[in-house]
Amino acid sequence: MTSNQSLLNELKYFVNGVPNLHRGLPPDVSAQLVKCSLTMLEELSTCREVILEYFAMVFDESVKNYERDPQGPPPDDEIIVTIQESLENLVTKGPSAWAPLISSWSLRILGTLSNKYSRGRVMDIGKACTLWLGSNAMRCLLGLAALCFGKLYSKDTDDCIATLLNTFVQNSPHFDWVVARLGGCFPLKVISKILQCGLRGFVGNANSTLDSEVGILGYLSFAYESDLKFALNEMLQAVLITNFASIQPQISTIPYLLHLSNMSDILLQLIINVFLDLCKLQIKECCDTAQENSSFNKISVNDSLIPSLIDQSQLWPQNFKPQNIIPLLTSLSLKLRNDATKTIITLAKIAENHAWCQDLLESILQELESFVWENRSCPLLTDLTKDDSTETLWDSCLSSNLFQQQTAVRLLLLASPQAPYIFHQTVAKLLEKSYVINNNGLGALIRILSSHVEIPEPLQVKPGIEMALERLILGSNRKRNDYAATGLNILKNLVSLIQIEKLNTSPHLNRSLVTTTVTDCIPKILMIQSLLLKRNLNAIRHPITDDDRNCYDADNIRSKKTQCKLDNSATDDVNQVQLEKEQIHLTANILDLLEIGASEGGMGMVDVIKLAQQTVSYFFWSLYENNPLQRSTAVNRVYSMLARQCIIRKSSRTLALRELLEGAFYSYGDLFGAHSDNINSDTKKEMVSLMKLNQNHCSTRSILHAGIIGNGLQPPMQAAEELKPEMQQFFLGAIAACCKSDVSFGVGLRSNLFISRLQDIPTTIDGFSTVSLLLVEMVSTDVMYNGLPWPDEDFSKVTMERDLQIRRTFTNAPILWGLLGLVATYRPAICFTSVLLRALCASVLNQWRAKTIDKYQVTANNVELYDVTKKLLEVMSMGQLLPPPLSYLHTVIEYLDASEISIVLKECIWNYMKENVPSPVLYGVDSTGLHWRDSVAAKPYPHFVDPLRNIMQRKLPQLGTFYHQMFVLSELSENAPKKN
Amino acid sequence: MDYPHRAHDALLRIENQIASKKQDHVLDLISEFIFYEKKSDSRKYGNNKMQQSCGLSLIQEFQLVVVLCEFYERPGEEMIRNAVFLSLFEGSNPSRLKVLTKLVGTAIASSVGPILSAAGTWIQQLGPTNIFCMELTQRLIEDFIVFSNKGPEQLRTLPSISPRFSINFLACCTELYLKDTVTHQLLPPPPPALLEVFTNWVQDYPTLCIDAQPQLVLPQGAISMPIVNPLPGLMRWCVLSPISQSAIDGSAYSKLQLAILKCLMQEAKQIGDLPLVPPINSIALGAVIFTLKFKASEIAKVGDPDTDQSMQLSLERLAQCIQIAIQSRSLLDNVPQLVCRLKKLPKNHLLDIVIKSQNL
Repeated sequence: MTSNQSLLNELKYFVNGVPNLHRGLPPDVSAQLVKCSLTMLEELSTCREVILEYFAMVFDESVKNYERDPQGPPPDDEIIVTIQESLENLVTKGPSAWAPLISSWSLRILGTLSNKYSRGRVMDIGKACTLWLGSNAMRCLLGLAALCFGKLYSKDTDDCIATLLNTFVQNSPHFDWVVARLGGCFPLKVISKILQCGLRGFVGNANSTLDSEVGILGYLSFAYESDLKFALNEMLQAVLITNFASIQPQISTIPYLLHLSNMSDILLQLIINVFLDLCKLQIKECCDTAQENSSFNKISVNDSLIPSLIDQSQLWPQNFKPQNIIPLLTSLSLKLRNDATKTIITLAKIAENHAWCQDLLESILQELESFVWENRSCPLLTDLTKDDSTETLWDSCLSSNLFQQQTAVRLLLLASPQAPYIFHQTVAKLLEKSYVINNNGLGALIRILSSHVEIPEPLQVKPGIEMALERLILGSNRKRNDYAATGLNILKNLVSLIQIEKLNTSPHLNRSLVTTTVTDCIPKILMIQSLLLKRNLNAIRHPITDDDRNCYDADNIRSKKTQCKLDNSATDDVNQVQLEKEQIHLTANILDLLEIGASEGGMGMVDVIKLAQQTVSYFFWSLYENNPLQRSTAVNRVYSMLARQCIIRKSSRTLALRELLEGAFYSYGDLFGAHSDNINSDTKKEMVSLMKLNQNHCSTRSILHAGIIGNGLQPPMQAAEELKPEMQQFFLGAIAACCKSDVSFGVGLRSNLFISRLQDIPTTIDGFSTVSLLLVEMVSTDVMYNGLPWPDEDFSKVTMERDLQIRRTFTNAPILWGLLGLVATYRPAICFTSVLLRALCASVLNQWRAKTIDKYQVTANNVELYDVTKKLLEVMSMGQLLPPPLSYLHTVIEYLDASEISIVLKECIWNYMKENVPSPVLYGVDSTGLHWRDSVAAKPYPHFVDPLRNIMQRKLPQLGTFYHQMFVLSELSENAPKKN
Repeated sequence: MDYPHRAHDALLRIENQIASKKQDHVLDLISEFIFYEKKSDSRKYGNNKMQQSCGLSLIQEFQLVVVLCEFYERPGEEMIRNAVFLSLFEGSNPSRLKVLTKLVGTAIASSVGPILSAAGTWIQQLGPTNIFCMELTQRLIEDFIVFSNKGPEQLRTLPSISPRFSINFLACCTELYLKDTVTHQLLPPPPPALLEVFTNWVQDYPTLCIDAQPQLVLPQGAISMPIVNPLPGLMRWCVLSPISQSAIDGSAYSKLQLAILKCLMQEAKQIGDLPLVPPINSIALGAVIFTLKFKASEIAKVGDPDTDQSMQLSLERLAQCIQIAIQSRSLLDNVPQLVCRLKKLPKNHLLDIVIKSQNL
C-alpha cells in the first residue's frame, strides 16, 4: 500500500499546483508539474481529462507568448517538447483508445487557440500556416493530430473528421489552416466533406463567400488534386448522371460549383477538368443538345446529362438563372487556364441548337477582343497559344459546323497579336489541308488571310505562306507519301486562292493579298520546283530510257519496278512519282497564274535566271508526259511563261534560249532522237589516269575524226532515231515563244488577252539571231574560222575535221535541221549560222567529190548524202542566202549524179557564197517588218549560174519543167518590166 | 477559504453529524459545500471565478478526490465512513458519479483500502445491475483497461486489498459483457485484458467467489443487501463466448473455465458444511440455457446445431459447469427442472451424460 502512496502524493502535488498556474509559475515548478502529470497520465489514466486540460493551459500559455512576438527568439519550450514526446509515445505504444482521444483533444485546442489568438485578423491559409507553424505548441498539436489520424481505425476516422469539421465550423475562418494541413491525412474524405459543407452553406445563403471552403480546397488541391477531382466527379455524377436530384442541397450543386469557380481560379480549373472528363465518359460522338448554363457544361455530352441539367436549372436560385449568369460565365471562361480552348470549342459545337450558347460565345469573344485591343492578357488568351489548343483550333477550322469553325477562326485571330507565330502556323497548317471534300476549311483560310486587318497590329501573311512552302521543301527531300500529299495540298490551295483573287469574286480576298505574297515567295517556289523536277526527272527517265520507250504508263512502270526491286515500296514510289508530277504542274501553274516576270521590277537577277531555267526544264520535263492533254496544257503554259519573260527581259531570253538549245542537244537529247553514245565512251576514258595518257605520247592530234589512235576505228555512227514531229513542233514553239516581242503591243500586255493571242504577237529578229549565235557556239567546236564570210574552197581542208564534227552533230541531232529551218524563216538571222552552213557544205562537197573518183560507188548508199545536201540547200534558199535560180537547186538535186553535184556545189554554191558574204546588211525591211533580200542586187553573176544551167540543159528531158521555172520564167519576169 | 479546504471542513462536519445521528443537514451540506450544486448560494462564499459556475471544475474534482482520500486514510469507524460514503453518492447524479469514478480509480491505483471497501459496500447496496454501478464499472474499465497499459497490473492485486470491492466489481463486470439483451443480440465480449485479470483473480484467490463476505457494516436501520455471486456470470462468459461472433481468443475462456471449475471443486472439498449462500443460482444458468436455445434455433436456419462446432463447445462447457456445480452442491434450487430444460438443447455427448446421471 505504501508503494502507491507516491502516486497519491503526485496527485496532491498536481492538484495543488495547477490552480496557481494562472498566476505564473517559476520554470522549475512548472517542469516538475509537467513531469508529475506525465507520470500520472501513465499510472492513473483516470485523471487523463484533467491532465489534458492542464496541457491545454500550457499550450495556451506558450501560444500566447509566441503570438506576442512571432519574430522574436523561439521560446524555450522544453515543456511542450516533453509533453509532445510522451503523448506521442502514448499514441504509438499505448492502447489504441488514446488516438481518437488525443486527436479530438488536439483539434479542439487547435481550434480554440487559433481562434483566440488570431484576434480577429483574417489571414489566408498560407500566411496562417507560416504564422502558426512557427509556434512550438501549434506545431506540436498539429503533429499530434496528424499522428493520431495515422493511427486511427476506419471506424474512428469518420468521428475524427466530424470533429475536425465541427471545430472548423465553430472556429471558421481561423481554423482553416488546420483543416488544410490535416486534410492531407484523409484527403478524399476531408475534401468531400468540405465540399458538402460548402454546399450546405451555399444553400443557406447563395451569396456567402465560402472563403474558408475555397481556401481549404485551394490549399488541398496543390497536393491532392486527384482526390479533389475525384470528389468533384462524384459530386457531379451524383447530381447529373446517376440520379436526378430534385431535393434542395443537391439541386444547387451546379450553381454552387459555379460559385466556387468564381471564387477560386484553381477550383475553376479543376472543376472544368472534372467536367470535361465526366463528359468524355458520356460522349458518344458528337452531341446534339447542350445546356446553356455553366461554362463547364459546354462539353458535348449525351442525352442523359443535358436534359437533367436543363431540368435542374429551372430550380436554381434566382441569381443563377441561365439568363443571369452570362457575365459570370464569361469572366469565368476568361480565367480558364487549361482546356479553355477545348471548352469554348465545345460550346461552339453545341451552339447550333442553343441560342443561349451563341450569346455566351459572342460575349466571350467580344470580351476577348477588348482584351486584345487593350493589349491586356488573360489566362484564356495564354491558353490559346498552347500547342494542343492551337491543334484543336486548327482541327475545328475544318469542321463542317459553322459555329465551331467561325469560333476557331476568331480565336486564332485573337491569339495572333500576342503570338504572331500562331497566325503564321495557322496559315501554313490550313494550307496543308485538303479541301476537296469539305471546302469549309478553305473558307476559314480565306477568312484568316483576309482578316489580318481586324486586329490591332497587322499581321504578315507572308511568313505563314513561307512556312508552308518551307515545309514543302523539307518534305520534298523526304520520300514519304504523306509529305507529298501535304505538299500537293499546299500548292493546290495556293492555286485556288490565287484564282479566286484573280476572279475577284470573294469579298474577302479582293486585296490581291495572296497574289502579292506568293509573288514575294517566288524564290521558294522556284526552289521547290527545281527540287521536284530534279528528282522526278530521274525517276521517270531511267526506267523509260533504259527500256522500251513506248511503255510509258504507270502500269508498266509498276510491273517493271516490282520485277526488279521486289519491293513493297514500288507502289508507293509510283504514287510518289504521280504526286510529284502533280506538284510540278501546280508550281508551274502558280508561276503562270502570277504572271511572274511580266513586270520589269520586283525580281532579282538570281530569280530571273532561275525562273528562266526552271521554265525550260519544266518544258523538257513535260515533254516526257504521255498524256497528250496534260502535255499540251503544260507546253502551252510554258509558251506563255517564256513569252512573258522574254518580252520584258533580254537576259531572260538569251538564257532561256541557251537552256532550250542545250537541253535539246545534250541533257534531253533523247527526246529528239539523239543518242548518248559519247557519254559511254567518255566514262571509259575517265578510267585512264593522266600519267598513262602522257606515257602514250598522245597529243591532241592523236584524236582524229575516224577514231583515236590506239583505240582503233571509231564505231560507225548510229543513225539518229526518228525525230517525232510533234516533239520538234513543241520545241520550235518554245523557241518561237522566246523570241516574241512586244513592239506592237507595248508594255501593258498583262492580260488574259495576251495569253489567248500568243500566236498573234510578232516575233523579234533579235531572238532568232541569238538562236543562230547559240547554234554556232554549240555546234561548232572551234573558236576560230567562225566568221560569216566563206573562204576559198581550198581553205576547207584546214577546217575539215571541224566540219566533219559539225556534220556529225547534225546527224546525231536531227532537231538541228528543224532549228535551222526555223531560223531561216526569220531572214537575217540565218546569216549568223554561216559557219555551220559552210561546214555542212564543205563536208557534203568533199563527200560528193570522193564519190566521183570511185565510179562504182557513185550510186551506192547515197540516200543520206542526198538528204543532207537537199536539206542544206533548202535552208539556204529559205534564208534567201541563195538567190534565184540557185534557190531552186534543192528541187533538182536528186536528179543529178555525184560529179554534177560536186560541180554545182563548188561552182555555184560555194563560189557564190564566197563572193557574197552572208550578212544581215544584205536584207532590207519592208513595211510589215519582214526582211527581204534585194533580189536585183543579189542577182548572181552568170558564172555562178552557168554550170548549173549547163548541167540542166544536158538533162533537159528530165528537168524541163524545173529548167523552165528556174531560168526561163525568171528571165521572162526580168524582161517583162523592161518591155514595159 | 479555498475550495478543497472548505470541502474538507464540510466533510468533518458531516462525519460528526452522522456520528451524532443528526442527519438533517447532511445532504444540504454535501450538495452545497462538497459538490457545489447550488449556483445561487455559491456566490456568497467566494468571489473566485472558478466557483461561480455550477458544479465542480475538473481540477476541483481532483481536489475533492484528494480530500476524500485523505479523509478515508485517517483511522475511523467503518460504519460511519460507509454512511458518509453512501450519503455522498447516494442520490447519484452524473456529476457526482464523475467524482466517484475518479475517486475509485485513484483508490485502485494508489491502493486506498478504506475507500474501496466503502465503494464495494455502495455497489452491493445498489446492486450490480443498477445503472450507476454499471456506469461506474464501465468508467473504471475504460480507465484501467482501455486507456492504460499498467491498469491490469494495478487491478491484479485488488482482491487482496479489498475483497468486497473486488467481488462486487466482478459481479458488475459480468453484467456488462456477453449478456443476452432484449433483442437477442449478445453484448460484446469483455476486453481480453479484463478477462485475463478476472481469470487471474479466480486462479489466485480461489476463495474470493465462494467465501462468504463479512456482513456489511451499515448504520442502524439500514437494510443490508445480499451479495451477488459473480460465478454464474463468469460461467455465462465461458459458455456463450464460442457462439458470440466477436469473441476470438478461445484459450483465454478455456483458462477461465478451468479456473471456475477448480474453484467449484475446491468448494466440493469442504463437503462437510454447506455454504451459507449457495453460489450458483440456477436462474442465472437458466438464462444461459435460454440464450443457447435461441442461438441453436438461429443456427438451425442455416445449418445443423447438432454438429455446429462452436455450439458443441458451448454445450460442453455448460455441461462441465453443471456437472461440477451439482457435484459440489453449489447449485441452488431446482436441479431437476434445470436438467429438464437441458434436454431441449441441441445434442451433445457430455450433456447427455450429465442428464442421464441426474435421471438415475
